[in-house]
Amino acid sequence: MKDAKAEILARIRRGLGESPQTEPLPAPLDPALSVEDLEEAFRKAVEGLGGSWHAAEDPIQALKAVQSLTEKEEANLCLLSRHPLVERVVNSGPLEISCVRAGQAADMEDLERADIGLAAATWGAASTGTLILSAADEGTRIASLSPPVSIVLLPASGLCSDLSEFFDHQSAETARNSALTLVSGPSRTGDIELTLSTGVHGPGVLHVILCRFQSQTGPATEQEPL
Amino acid sequence: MAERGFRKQSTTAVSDSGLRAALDHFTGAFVRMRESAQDELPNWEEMRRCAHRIKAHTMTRLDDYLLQLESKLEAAGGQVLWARTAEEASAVIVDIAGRHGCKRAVKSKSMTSEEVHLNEALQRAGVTPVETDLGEYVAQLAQERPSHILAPIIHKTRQDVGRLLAEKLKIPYTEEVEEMTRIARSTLRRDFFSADLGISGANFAVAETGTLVIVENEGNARLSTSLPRVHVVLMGIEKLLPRFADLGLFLPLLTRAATGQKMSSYVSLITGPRQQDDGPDHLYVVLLDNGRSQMLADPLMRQALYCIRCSACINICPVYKRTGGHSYDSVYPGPIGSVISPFLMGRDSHSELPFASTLCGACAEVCPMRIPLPEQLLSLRRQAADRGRSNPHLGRALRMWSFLQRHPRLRGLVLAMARTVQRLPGSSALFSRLPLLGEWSSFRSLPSLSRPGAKR
Amino acid sequence: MRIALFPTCLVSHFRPRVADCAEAVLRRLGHQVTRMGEGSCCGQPAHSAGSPAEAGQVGRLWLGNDLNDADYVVIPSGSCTAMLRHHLQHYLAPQEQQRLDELRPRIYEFSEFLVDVLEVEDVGASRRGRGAYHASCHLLRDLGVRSAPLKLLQRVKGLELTPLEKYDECCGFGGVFSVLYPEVSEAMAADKIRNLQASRADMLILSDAGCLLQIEGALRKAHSKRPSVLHLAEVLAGRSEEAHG
Repeated sequence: MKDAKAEILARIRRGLGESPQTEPLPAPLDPALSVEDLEEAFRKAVEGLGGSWHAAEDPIQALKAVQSLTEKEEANLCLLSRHPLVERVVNSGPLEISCVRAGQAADMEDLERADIGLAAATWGAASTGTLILSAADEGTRIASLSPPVSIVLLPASGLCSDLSEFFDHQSAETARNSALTLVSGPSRTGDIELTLSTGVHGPGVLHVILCRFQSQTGPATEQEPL
Repeated sequence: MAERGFRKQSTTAVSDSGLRAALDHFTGAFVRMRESAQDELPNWEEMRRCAHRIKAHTMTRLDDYLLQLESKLEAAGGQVLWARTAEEASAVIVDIAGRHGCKRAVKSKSMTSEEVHLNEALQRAGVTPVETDLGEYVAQLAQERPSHILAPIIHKTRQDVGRLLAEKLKIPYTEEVEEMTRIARSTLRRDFFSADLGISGANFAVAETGTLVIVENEGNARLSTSLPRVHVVLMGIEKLLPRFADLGLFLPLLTRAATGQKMSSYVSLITGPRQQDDGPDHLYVVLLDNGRSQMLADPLMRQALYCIRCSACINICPVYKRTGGHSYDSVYPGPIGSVISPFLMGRDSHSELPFASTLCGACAEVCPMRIPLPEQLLSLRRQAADRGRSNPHLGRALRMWSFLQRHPRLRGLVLAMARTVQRLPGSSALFSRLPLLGEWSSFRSLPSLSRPGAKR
Repeated sequence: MRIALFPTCLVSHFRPRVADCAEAVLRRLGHQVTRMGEGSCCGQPAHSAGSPAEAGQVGRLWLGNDLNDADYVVIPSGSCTAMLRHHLQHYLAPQEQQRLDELRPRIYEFSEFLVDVLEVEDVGASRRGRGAYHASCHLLRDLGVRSAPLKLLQRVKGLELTPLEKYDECCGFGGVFSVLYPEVSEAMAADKIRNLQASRADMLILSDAGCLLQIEGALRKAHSKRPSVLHLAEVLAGRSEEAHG
């Protein structure tokens, strides 16, 4: 389709005229909503979207929160992402539920059987309660997507007040990331009579665990004793 | 004007009281959600102005930005293909499917794919396309076109959907929305896990980084772009944003204007095929012109390319609200549809749409991109009239009226005669048989003519 | 102040009382009023139908009207004011622009003129009854006049203003739209009338003859005598001793 490309570009240039009057590109806007207490704002936003909010001071507390959520949800098989924070939390003690790691799932059937997912965000934007998941860190796109219940670990160190802050500073992330996913609340639809219904394709239930401990990012730190 | 035209189809639509009640209710709800979401932001007007200027800039350098997008995407391992027309876009995608031996496609909602009639082309080539957005899925089962760009089955009641699911899926009837949602989820899961081709549109494409942005609430776009081994993005050439940082403005502008959400449930920022993760092996991006470069050439029409498809203009439109989307006979209904359809869906077949508006201006008032929709409709009316595609009675009446304005004594005479005729018994029956006057008197009485300037 | 009142073609031919009332209000406030362009048109029908030739021919004629040295041109229609202020320029030859440019800053819609130029809200009107206000589209959105008519109405003695649901939604007139798509136009008028009846107002007050002919025409065709449909000027001209103008 070489011809198509050349022709479309020619049409555009012809349409703009010989010397297109270039409008200047305005600077990005400052965010209107600034947030004072990041964690509190985040909690409110997540709960406002119908998610639940938990906080953990160390990996063992986080693991306990995961354990109690899997029990509460009566889950049988947990799909784990490969995020270092997930690794750190599940390696901090025994988790009494069968687990399968994304990418190691024997087949699609395993994926379909997984009824809870454990993933981790790399950043979070408080004003909208948005979790930002990186496919590069997660090693998967679906641990936070396929199971009907989703637990997402959120490192306190990755919080910012507004999404515009994230977009202002993290454009380089796209180079190492085939997919960044912004998650704000559970999966929802209003397609039938505008009646809100959750869990249509993604998880209908979202639990966020704020992790007030260091996220580890490389294999070297992963080997440190917990 | 064509037999099928807007008048005929809208006449059927307005006589459907159920449809009118549903449209009134749901468009009203969308309007309220948008209003409260934009009132929350102290700088909404500043955001609109800034977004308008960013798009104005982008369009004047569109060739450069498209080339930048292409090189960034290729550096990330994606492939970029260009399509001049709807047919070419469909052919390119059919060809990709053939090259990779794909037989089953899952699609997330893409108006652009409706524009190019992609499903029909895939089916002819032996590829089964499954729409996975709940509304689109229902529309596909019903073999209907979406009637709204955001809420495809806004015209259907829950009972309509319940009956359709029962019939097509051979399941017991239910009208519980939660239950119908669950049924769609479990039915479509099988399609997601067996599909070898995922097809999506893009809400934005960032030139600086080569990032494709897909905004949704259900999760079907995430599944469509994660599970199949081949992912194809079909997007119009106007979807570009210069910088990654621009998303900080455009995403909230879109979601608040569209559904009143601070942010949609899911936004996927895709830059290339999978790296260390489990996404698709191949990513193709098809850049579609199909009339867009023609809009670009006209500085007024160019501004319609700023559209982010939020549907705020559709929901506020007093005409759409009475007629629904199917009356427009286009993928793109409402005010923005009446502007862009003549370019994207066929100039002659859609030349009537710019007349299907009262020019009340509500659309321009709410458009987050500040697109001058009424001015564009007026310009398109002039173009249609130029090509002899406006109502012939109207043209004759205007010529006569202008002639009489220029000949006041004759005008006085004609009006005096009209006043005399109007006083005769049976005059209203006579008037109601005349073109235009007949249309006026279909539900309105003709007011009595006075003598201009007479002393009272 | 010397004011040239342009009645507009719809008012001249179908509702001359509107111009008489507007003139009476302006005189009552101590101004000199002359009529301009009685029976003539600003060219808007051709503009909205997409007929530039006719819009230019008729608009040009309008510009040739004698202003009688008036300081201002006042028009009891938001729609015609918007045509002259914003659109006519596109249909004129360069040498004709000067006359329009001279005139443009002095052209005002009636309620806008009273509130913004004369800075008057109380015009000494009185009228007993319950009134609902319909905001005509071009006045509201082309000219951005939202509050002036309401400010004037709030000062009318004896008038109780009652809220009208969707008061700023189009009535379905839309100029040529009203005859090209009468079925949709009817549906819009019907909704307006339903909201009007729910408001329990005994008069609907608006500021454009187009909306007036549309809504009143639909009411009368349905043989419904009430509520009455009045132009703002007709209400503002009312004095209690004159009863119903």
